[in-house]
Amino acid sequence: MKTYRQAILGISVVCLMLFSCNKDKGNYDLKPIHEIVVDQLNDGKEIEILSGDVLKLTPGVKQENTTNGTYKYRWYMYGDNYTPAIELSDKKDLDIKITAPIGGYTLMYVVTDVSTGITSTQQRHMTITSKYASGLLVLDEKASGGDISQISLNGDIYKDLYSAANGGNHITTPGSKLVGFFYKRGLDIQKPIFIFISSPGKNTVEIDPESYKESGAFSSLLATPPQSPVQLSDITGMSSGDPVYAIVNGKLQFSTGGTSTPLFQGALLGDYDLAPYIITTTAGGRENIPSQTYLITYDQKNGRFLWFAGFNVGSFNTYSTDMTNPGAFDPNNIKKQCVFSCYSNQYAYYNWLMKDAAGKMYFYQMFPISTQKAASVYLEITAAPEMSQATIFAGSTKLPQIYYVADNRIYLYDYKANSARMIYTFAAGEQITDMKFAVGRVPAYETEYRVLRTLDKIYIATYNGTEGKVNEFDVSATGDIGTPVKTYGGFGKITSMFYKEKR
Amino acid sequence: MCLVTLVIGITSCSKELVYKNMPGIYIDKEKLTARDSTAYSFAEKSAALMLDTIYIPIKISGEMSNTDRAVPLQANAARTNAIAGTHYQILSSVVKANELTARAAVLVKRTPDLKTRQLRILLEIVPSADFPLTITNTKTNSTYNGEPSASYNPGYLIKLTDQLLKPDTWDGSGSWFKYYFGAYSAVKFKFIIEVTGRTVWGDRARYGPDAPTSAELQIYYTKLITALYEYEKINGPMIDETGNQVTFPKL
Repeated sequence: MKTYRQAILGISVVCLMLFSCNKDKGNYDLKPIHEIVVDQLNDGKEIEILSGDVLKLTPGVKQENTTNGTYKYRWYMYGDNYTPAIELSDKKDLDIKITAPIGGYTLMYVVTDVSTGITSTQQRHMTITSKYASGLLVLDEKASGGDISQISLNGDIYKDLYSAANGGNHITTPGSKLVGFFYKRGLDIQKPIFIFISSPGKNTVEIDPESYKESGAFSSLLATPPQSPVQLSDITGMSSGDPVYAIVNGKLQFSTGGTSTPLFQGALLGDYDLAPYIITTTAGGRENIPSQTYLITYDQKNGRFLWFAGFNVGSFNTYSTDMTNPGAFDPNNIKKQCVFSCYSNQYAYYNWLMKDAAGKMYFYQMFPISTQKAASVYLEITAAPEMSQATIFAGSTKLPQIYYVADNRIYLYDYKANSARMIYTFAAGEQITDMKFAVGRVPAYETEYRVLRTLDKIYIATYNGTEGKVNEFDVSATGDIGTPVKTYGGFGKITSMFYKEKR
Repeated sequence: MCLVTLVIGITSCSKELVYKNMPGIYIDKEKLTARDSTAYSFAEKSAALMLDTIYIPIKISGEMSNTDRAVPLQANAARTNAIAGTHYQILSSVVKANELTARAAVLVKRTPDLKTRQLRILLEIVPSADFPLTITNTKTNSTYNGEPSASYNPGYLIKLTDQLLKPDTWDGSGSWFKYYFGAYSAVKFKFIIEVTGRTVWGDRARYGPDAPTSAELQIYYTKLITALYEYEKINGPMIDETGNQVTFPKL
């Protein structure tokens, strides 16, 4: 055995010696590649630019051992969600007006030596912002027609943006409303906020969320639009997942979402006519609600709550009729008119205000399940002055409170105490025309996956017959609003406001 | 060690084994969704379509040739009731030189009698001078325990009509017909075509260029359940040819 191993070893050594004598025929006539050296873009700093501004960059380009090289240049950028590349320039220096939607991008600069194909690339993150990115949209009516202005978060006012963006055209009067929602999948195209103008008797139109230019009919988002006029009264996404719901001509349109612009497949089936409120539900990411319903609405036609859960169009559902384990009321048998709905201060409970034929007011609270136990709270409201005349409401998601308006007076209804108190009165002759909280619309674990969260400011619009004003109040820890911290004047009659949170 | 060397040496001196080429040809059923037959209905096509071509994938056994060779595809006269020239025509096709595969073309014609009947064309490969080897059946490429998992019959049946037929792939694995529309019935399929306006569905309504996208199917599904809801409000349940109520799955 030992002899055998020695023989193998000997043969191996001989083979190695033979190969070591073999001439290396490789070509090692190496030449330097003359690398291209490009300066860092914007001196290596993040680029921040306002939409519409001109971006100028003049990076130095050098190539080793080359003085008169011929180069190709490519400037392009892509969005933070890897949106398709936007070509910007093929010149050495960048000098271009930025028109892409606001958001985060990566700016790329590629220099190629035409003769050798050698390239060098520089990249820099860039944030496009807009003075219209955040703030309060104000739709007001003047003799010339409706228009949209914006009060930015720093208090700057930009007037008549709609007419400026739409060739001098105005919005239909009276009574047009701004309707919008946050759509997570819209981030894919840097468009997380969708805004629409819903005008009585007219087809709802979509406007660009930053420029306010009309971008098309809302009906283009519907696979099977109903008979004209196609009127949107509420729209919202799910707290988690892609589906989007919209109330159009009283019916609930359903979209599976999943695309950067939602397409509504069709209306849920059934005999109903919805109040203009959609509540999408959440378990806050903190509990498991067995057989959770995704959506609660109120059927004005039949005086009942309806729920839905699913990822395709189907029948709208009524609640279980099994009364062996009853709730605070029968959700299938309300028989009142809904005047308001809002998210409560608890993520899985949802508020509804109803009025009966005699004008008496009622408070209902719902939990997202399909049994009778969905009916959580029922109150006859007896201590809320002027509530039965109110048409303008705003619900807090921080406190168990709903604000409502009568003429020039603001009341605060506490549904835990089931009573209301007046908290502010404007000067005589100042009629309150709208009231909106500053809100956050991005559902996340930190925000208990709520699709709407009120912040600590509330905006109240007034009109005295000649001038409209927006009165900004800070909301205290008790829900009181004190006196206006700012007042913005010079508007026409304000019919609708929409808050765009900071991006 | 010496013995092994001796054996190797003796073997290396033996006469070479000779491969004798015997060319054969067969219908390549691995390429066909419905392996043994297809139901072709002009009713699912554009009303203006009077002729269409069905392609049959062909493969050879044996060596490639440096000349073109005719594909010996014929209709089995005893088991075919469609009339050659009137209802169909098997077009000349070849396996090109230095190629292993080909497509045989069968022209089918829309004639008035197809509105009321279904005709059969049983295609078969017959031995020819170019392909003398008769291949009675073929086996799958996929194996189970080292053996082909199935074998195929040699013929291929075309069922030709201008009536609405159940798509062959309705009940196939992963079929979107079944997922979105549920169990087949003729009444339901007619309703689907009326409501969606779509007659061409492709393989399992899912694969290939003729198939709808999933987004289209979601819209079709919505249109169908909405149309059925409206129908039932006026007429009551829609009943199919077997006496069952037409329904769609709850997705």
